[in-house]
Amino acid sequence: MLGKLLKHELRATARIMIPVYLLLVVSACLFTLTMFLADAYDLMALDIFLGLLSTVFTITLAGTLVCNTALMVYRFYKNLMTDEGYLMFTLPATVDGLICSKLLSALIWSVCTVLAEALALWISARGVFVREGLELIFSGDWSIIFNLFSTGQWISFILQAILALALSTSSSFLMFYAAIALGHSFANHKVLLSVVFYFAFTFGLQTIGSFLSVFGIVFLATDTPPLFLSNDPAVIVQVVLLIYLVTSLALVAVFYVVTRLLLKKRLNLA
Amino acid sequence: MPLLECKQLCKRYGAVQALNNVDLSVEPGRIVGLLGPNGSGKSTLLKIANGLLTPTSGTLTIDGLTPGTETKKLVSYLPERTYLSRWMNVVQLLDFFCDFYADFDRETAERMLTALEISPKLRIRQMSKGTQEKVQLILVMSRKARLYLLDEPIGGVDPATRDYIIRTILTHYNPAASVILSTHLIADVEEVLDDVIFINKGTVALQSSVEAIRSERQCSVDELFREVFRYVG
Repeated sequence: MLGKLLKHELRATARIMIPVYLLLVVSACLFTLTMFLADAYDLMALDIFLGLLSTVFTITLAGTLVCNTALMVYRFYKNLMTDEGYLMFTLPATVDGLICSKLLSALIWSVCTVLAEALALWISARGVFVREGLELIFSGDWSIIFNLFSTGQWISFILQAILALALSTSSSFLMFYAAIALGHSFANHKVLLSVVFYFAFTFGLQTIGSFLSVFGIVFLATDTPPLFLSNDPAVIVQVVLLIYLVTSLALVAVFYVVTRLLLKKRLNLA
Repeated sequence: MPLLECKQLCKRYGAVQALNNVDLSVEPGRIVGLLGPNGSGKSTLLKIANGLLTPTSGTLTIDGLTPGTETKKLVSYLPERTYLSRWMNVVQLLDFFCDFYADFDRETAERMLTALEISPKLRIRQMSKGTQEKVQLILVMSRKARLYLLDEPIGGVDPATRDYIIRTILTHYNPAASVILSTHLIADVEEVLDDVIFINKGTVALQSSVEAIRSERQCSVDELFREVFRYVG
């Protein structure tokens, strides 16, 4: 059932995301083409057009990221909390299936967005000016960083970082879902309350994060834990990654349970 | 075993008691009118039966099961709202129902769509409200479900559409199944009903067969409804 839900979710979101990606790639191509032309012909009109396209390209890059997040949050709201919820919650599917299909779709599109942004940047990097800038950045000696860890350690860290990123992205979407589900469990002002709860969650997490950071710094400064004694950067990276992984996993669990509980026990379709 | 059974079912929204100690049962093969004025608790009862609301106390079972994934396979629900995604066209909706409901009969749906001259390529957002309601009803009635729960299927549509809807319910429901039809437009549905449940202010005021009402009380369901609700109100 999850597969079917995911299939329909991807179909519903693809009709927006695919044109957005096309727009991004087209704007990258136009930007790069204009860079070639501006380099070949010394025309003021081309320089002005290049400046304009560079702004459009930057906005499209940022807009694609915003569109990805906004659409995934809107889909959860529209498909489960408005009239469409009457269909979705009467399908022979579990609440877990409904939440997971939304979350998996959001993660898949987030990966696609990263790939589309990378492609757009790669296309723009073919252009003369961007290429020169990148060559300048990468002309330095990067071997110090590459030699910091062994190949095995690099692979392990990259895999852990990908997992941490996936968990962190999941917790971000689940925080939106939990806020929407909580806001919609009330009789009135559902959307407004959802926004209020989202900001309350953000504020709460920042407060807890600040408190734990201060506590951690004091602890590290006054005690002599192994992390501080170690001169091995791999140990430090490993500890930081573990803290990030555990924190993200805890947030995923908390927001998932809150969302699930509210949709199962306090569903309140208008 | 009753197809749908409520025992001491209560639902409270804050200070409002939407359902109060409702006891009722619906046997298979019956067309039941769930009749009552606006705000009497009809939609709340149907929402609980569909797992969209959780009862405050008491139980509601469908074929002996508490509303959940298994009962949703047995129930075909028509809510009073249009729940179809506005961007979808009719073909996409048929695909959707085929995917999720093993008992969905695509051929029946396509036949009904053709009869009503509804283009399969038409998107929901391009349809009038009446056509949207017809498509929704076609999708719901094209399932070979055990229990059809229809919430105000004839409210807010013109008389011709109303006739079509009633005819559709009669000709397309699975005869071994039951239909619970919630409405306050009694005269329009009276002819097709086997049983009636009168509900007012969250309480069952009467549960009887239409035949018994006609033979014992010598009146129509519509007349009895007016009498009962004049008395209760």
